[in-house]
Amino acid sequence: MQTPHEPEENAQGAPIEHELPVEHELPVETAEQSAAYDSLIRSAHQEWAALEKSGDPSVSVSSGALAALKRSVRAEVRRGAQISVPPTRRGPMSVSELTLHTVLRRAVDTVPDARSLRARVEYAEEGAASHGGWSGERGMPRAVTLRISVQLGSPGARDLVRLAEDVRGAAAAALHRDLGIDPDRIDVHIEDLHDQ
Amino acid sequence: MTSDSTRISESTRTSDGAPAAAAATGRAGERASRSSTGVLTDDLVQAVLAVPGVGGLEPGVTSTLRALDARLRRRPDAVARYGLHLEEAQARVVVEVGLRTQEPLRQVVEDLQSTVAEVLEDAGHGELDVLVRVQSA
Repeated sequence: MQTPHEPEENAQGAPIEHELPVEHELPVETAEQSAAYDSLIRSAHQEWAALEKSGDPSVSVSSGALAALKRSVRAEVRRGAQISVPPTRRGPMSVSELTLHTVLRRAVDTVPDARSLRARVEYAEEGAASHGGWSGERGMPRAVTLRISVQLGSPGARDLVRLAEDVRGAAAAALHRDLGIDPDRIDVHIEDLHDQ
Repeated sequence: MTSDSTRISESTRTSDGAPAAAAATGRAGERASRSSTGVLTDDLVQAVLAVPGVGGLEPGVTSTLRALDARLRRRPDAVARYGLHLEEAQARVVVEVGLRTQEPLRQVVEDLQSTVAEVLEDAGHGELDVLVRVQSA
């Protein structure tokens, strides 16, 4: 690289004469140097394109990396958005919709004679902005609707109101214990009856 | 690191001719810091996986892209692994995990945060928050 303090030289090593001395704060680049640099970049592009065309692994993402990316995209869809929950004593946490629904399903299934079918959750309007700009983040769950099935002929089926209360209590306890949340409302809808 | 700093200090001079000790130490320090960051990330991954109740790291798309980006740019020093990355703007380390436990999830998350915080503190990064994202349970 030429510096302002060093005389420029031509290809034969002879100093290049300038009509007027010019001072520069930055190093000077001659037209020849610019052309050489452009040529270098052009050839690098051509080499890259040729390698890419021939499937050379040095210029492409590995199949392993691509597979990891595909898996993570599919997993993200399966898990759903991240949901805000209160921080623990040691720091912030969030859970996926999948995790929330797993907690609810397990809670319902612990109640004798009840079986979880579906759950619908309403979230408080809390934007991604409060979580560092993560898109798809949901606010805190504020209302839950649990759709369940009850075993035919079971004690639970004979007192559906009490069964619904048990389901509600189990869900509320699990949400509080596992996620630290206490929704305003937990509705229970008995949607079906099942044998055994 | 010391010899590296010395070598750079001896061979580098600023434009006014003075030894560039400060600049050289800065560059060497940066390299050392990057190197230790790489070790730190490995330690963090091991620490996360050792917490009882943690089934494994489960990366989201963001951390996967960050890890791939670090590899493509040949930056093994970057705090970016599948399921664990540093968000500098928010001054926090994000850990994405799947939990396999009968214990309350919050308890496992708290244990995980304590463990990661200890590793960070030992490495001189005690100021970072630890955000745990539970991907599955």
